[in-house]
Amino acid sequence: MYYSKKAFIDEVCEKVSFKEAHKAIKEELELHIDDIMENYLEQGFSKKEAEIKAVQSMGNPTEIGEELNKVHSSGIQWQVVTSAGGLSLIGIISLLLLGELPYGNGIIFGIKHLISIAIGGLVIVLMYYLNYRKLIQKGKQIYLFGVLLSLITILFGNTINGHTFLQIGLISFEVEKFINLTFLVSIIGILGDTKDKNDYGLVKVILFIVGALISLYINSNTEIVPIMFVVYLSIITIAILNNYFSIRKKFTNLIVIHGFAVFSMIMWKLNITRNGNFPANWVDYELAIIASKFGWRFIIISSFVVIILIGSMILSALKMKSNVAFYFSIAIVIYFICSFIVGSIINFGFLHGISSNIPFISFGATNYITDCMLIGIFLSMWRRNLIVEMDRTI
Amino acid sequence: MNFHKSLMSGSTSLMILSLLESEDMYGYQMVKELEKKSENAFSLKEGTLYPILHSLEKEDFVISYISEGEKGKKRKYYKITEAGKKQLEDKKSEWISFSNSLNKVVGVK
Repeated sequence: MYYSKKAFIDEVCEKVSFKEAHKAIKEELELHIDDIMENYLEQGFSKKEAEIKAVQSMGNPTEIGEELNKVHSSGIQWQVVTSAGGLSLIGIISLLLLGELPYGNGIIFGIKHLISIAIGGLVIVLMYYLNYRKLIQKGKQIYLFGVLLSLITILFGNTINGHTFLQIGLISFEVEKFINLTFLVSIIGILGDTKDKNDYGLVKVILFIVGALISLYINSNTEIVPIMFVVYLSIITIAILNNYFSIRKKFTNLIVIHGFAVFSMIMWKLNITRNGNFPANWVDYELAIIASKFGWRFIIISSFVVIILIGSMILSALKMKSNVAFYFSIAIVIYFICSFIVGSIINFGFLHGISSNIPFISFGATNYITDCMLIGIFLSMWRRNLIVEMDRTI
Repeated sequence: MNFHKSLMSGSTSLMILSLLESEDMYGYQMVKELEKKSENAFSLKEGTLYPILHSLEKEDFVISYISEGEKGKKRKYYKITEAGKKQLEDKKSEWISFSNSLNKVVGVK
């Protein structure tokens, strides 16, 4: 059967169910056919003859399309999914078996947590199918949305135990994590636009980060600010060391930024000491309750699953071909590392003044759902790693 | 000489990895190099190369990048990774062992 170049490529793409892969496949096949055509044209064939012969030498488009579909039809990082699922299972089993807790029976919290897990699972699927690149392209608009949401929360939110809630009709939800997520997405988008933009690019990203942190801080949030501070500081440091901004005085910039970071942390710590802000919610010491009820074996198993989750995420993040996906996935990994560490040490009384949940284990709908969103975005980046153009050195 | 499709299918990824060991290449360049090295014995349907290349990239044995080739054309080059080099060594050993055993069975010296 005769196919024109376009018909051949269309036939191949028709068999590939992952539509986002079509562009890359089309470009690659088109270039290859052009090369063969060029060869035939040099041999004296007419353009039409050269096209027919070139397409014939490519093979059967249906078979090629079906084989490509096998490669592109799925790309799930199962280690990440199963370890996040494993931690959720640990969380739900603990709640169901804990018995009486400060604010009611564990079974009630367990049932509520089951609902969060169902919503979280749905969120992961949605984020996995969502093209993260389209989300990131709207970085500035999303940032503006984050600022607006912050303002609405300041004006209309209710603060309970240091956490601010917004009420829409019958539904009340904790806003800080959503605001934080919008800022993270937008800052990664802004970072994506500042490659090789020298000092201007660096200063631009830092200003947006400072704005985001201030906005989070004003929302009376003692939980997320220190963690995001470490996340953004790490991202900026890695970007400078990788010469992402193409700035000349790399180490001078790093010294200034880290100096300012240490100063800010000291000021923040002094402020916390004066306010004497201790964990007020039982969820902040949920891990300690679990350890006292089920023993250290339970904690060791949980830690092992956390190590698998973090380890597999780091390995995947290092393989991300695009700069944006690399920095975004590194930011997510650092966020989870900080959350696990801070959440654990608070539980055992080694750190006062802030509160943090243990991702996927701790009770709390908003925390759980936003953590699932991050996992979904991570999976979305991994899914598309095969079709994005490489713009970073691996 | 044209070999049967089933004989080619298992060994194409080995040949691709072997080609990429010496330099980064784009699809068309690989086909031509394969023909040249095999003295036209291996002439595969050129489009069938891409599912194999994409699969190798998914398995982390190669990595692709866009670069300007000859005549200023932008092309998708493939580069062998460290995991790919290890896979190549394993596949080579497997191939040597397999062909030696096969030769003994069919009586080729």
